[in-house]
Amino acid sequence: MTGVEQWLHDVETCALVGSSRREPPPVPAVLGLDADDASQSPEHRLLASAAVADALSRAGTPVPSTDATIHTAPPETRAVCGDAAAQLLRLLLTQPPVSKGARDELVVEWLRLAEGAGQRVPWSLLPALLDFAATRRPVAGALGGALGERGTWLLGLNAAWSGVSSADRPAPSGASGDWTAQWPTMATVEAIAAFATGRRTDPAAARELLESEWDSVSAKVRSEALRSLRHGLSSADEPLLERALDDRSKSVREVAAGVLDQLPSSARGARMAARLRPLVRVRGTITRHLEVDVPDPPDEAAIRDGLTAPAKGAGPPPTVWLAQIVGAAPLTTWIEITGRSVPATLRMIRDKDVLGWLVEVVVDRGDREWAAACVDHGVPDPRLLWLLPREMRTALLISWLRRPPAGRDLRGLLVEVPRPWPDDLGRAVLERLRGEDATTSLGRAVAPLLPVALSPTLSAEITAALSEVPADATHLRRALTETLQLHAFRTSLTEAFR
Amino acid sequence: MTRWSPDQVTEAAPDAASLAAGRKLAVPGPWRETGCNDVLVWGQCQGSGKTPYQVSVDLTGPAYRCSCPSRKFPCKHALALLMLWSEGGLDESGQVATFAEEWASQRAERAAAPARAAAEGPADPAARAKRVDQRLARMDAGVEDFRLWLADLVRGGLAAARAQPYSFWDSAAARLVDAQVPALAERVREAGSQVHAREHWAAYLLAEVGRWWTITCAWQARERLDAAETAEVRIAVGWPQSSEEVRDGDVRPGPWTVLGAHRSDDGRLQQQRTWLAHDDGEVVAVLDFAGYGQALAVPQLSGARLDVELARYPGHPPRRALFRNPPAGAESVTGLPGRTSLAAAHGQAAASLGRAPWRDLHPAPLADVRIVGEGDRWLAQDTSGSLPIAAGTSVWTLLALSGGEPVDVFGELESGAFRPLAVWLDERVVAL
Repeated sequence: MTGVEQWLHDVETCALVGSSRREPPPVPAVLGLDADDASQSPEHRLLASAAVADALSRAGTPVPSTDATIHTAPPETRAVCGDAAAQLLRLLLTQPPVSKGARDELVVEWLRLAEGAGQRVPWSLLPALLDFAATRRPVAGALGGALGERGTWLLGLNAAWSGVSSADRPAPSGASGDWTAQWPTMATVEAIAAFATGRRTDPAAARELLESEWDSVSAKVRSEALRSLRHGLSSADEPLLERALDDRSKSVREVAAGVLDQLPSSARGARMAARLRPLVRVRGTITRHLEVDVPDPPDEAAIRDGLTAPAKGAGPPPTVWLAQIVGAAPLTTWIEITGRSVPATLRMIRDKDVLGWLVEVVVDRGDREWAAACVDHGVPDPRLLWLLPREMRTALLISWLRRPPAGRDLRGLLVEVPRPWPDDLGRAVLERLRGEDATTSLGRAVAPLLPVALSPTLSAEITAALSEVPADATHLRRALTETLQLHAFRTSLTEAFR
Repeated sequence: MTRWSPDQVTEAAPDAASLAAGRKLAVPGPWRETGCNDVLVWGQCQGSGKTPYQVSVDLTGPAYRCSCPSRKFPCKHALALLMLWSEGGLDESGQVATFAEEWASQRAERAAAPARAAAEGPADPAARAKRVDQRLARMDAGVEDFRLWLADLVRGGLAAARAQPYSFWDSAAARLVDAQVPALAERVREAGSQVHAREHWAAYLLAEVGRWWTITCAWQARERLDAAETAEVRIAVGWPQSSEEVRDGDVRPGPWTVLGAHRSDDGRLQQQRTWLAHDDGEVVAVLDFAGYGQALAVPQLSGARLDVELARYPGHPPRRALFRNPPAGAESVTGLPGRTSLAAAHGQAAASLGRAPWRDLHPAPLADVRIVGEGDRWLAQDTSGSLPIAAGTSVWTLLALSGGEPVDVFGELESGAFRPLAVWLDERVVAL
């Protein structure tokens, strides 16, 4: 410590305890100052020393050096996006002209367009974009190469952006490479997940693996792997499922029966059809209808096929077996019995329970013909509607918009329709909204969807609707205005990357 | 008046929410009867209510008026109107709307009133001298009182002072305000809160106390100081120069280059500090203040070369200055004027301490400086040394733009730290 440094230290100590307890140290002569006038009181000498110390510490010390470093960013390989695109991204990040939900979507769209054009985000926008993406997984997932080398480099420097980097990485995939080799040795949870992923990528390979390892894996893995067979289910899976019906584990047998319910063309489906036929009879001469009996308690073969075994004392009611048989038999069995078309057959079913079970079968197997007939028949289950071909569903929705049917939740349906809506549907909704219904619940439910649901080709209709909705329907006005803004923004976005 | 750039409109916004709201309204749809002339922009905006809001902006202030109930200044309607204007979307030929004209004339009257009072008022030199004497007497007494308080402080020791409640500092500051030395009062108040917030409070408080002592000594010795030194002491104690006097005083014409600007808002007062350099290297700072609910002057874009006359306050360089007329003709430059090393900037700051030891803010146009560090500890580094980045400053934009390579940065040195304000790239200048 030099004399001056020692002195600075002493001044600090003296000031801390006070000049009443400790004499202020004399100012070092080397400073060449006239601050030590002995005639001054100790307080004044200490204050003068403090003044010198302050000036000295600020002006008298050299700039320190540091051994801190930074690795520099690698050079960019992509071209930066154009000025127009940069301006749009800046707007989205700092002054979004659209609502919050639409904004996230537009940022993702911006990134996709940039990715498609092989361009990157300008450096100056990286911090704002990373801040934005840190709390929004879909945005973080869409960053990709648009971040550029600089963005990837910057990302690693700020812990607050760690969420971005983990979302950016592709999800661990069990199906990649030789997962089949490791599968028999995997832990239960891991094995179940790996099989589900593997089944989606290569159904046949997954099935063959399960067949060959059937006896070596645990019951839990067997049942869960069987459940995964629902994806890409085909008649090729039938032998394995049939074998599983004889499995020693009850849960495996139950899952196998459940999966086979979705494979009505199977031998088990035929056996169930044979059980159903004697129970259903055509009655009536003028209005022909179906009468459905309950079955007798199941025999060994039926129990093997998945019917609940009768218990001593209070067993399951016979309707449970009926439901199980209806759920497993092919739908064609009903046509064979009535000898009529699907809609006509549906009309002949008077039993509400049977109809309900049938609807479950239709939804479960995704049978479009039956779904259409059920909708026609007035079954309000919205799941049926999503089985219909797009055009048919749109046409139905449009007709319901014009003449609202009783017992249907039109609002709920519109919320579920995939967006953007087909133009015809969009037009019908606008027509309905600009009428007297502008303040009704339909308008309230649908308004928030409009910006993302209405297609840009409808801009003329949207403008027309905007001028006709009642003045007090502010939520609708706002939604329609925003829709127009969003469309304009989308257009400029696409143009910016052209 | 030249049309504002979109960035200038952005900077005028009180917060991000207002800006976003304004952006949504910046479409022709809700607007009626819009127009603009050299000093006014006006329009009516249809809000959710029946009567449209009447919006007027006086560009010279700038000042904003809107009949909406918002307490933000400017409100979203005024911002939206400015955005439309900035994009060239307003008619420039029309008749000024009645509501805008009325407001403008009321403003003109109010602005003229004090000037008129000053012009017509009793220009009695004797009365004026008497007022000055009274103020000086009060200040002298206040400073003497403060010196006694300081002596008591160091006699008892700083450790004992730290044990005092905030009111101890606050009442000392209040007495200084009464004695019309508000700048000194502000320093004492700040120390009162910092002494509990800081880790190295003892060194901090010792330095502050030393600085206060220097100011009181300088004040008492002011008879022996020259004009520039006296002016510095006046700034230190907070005896303001009237801007009217300055405006017609030491004027220097442009071009002035905007080096960078800093904005702060402590909840009560918004401040804007714009650093400008002349071609010969003279650096000045233009300070703007606005209270709560008022709008700060429009910021100047960093890198802009302004054709404007600046009136300089007396004092040592870098001096405070004010715009005599609204800046115009903003061509931009990209070469940072006066670029130098960290050590040299530090040296210049030290030299200016020799003239005004209580100063703690110095301009630093740094050449080829690199941001190094990690986590939340970052430093500015060049071949001559390094300084920490000032607390509360985000380094991310600077890092994104530099990629860890050396770049030219304009900033401020304050309390041994560097606060970057604008990065001067080869092709453009980006405010941080």
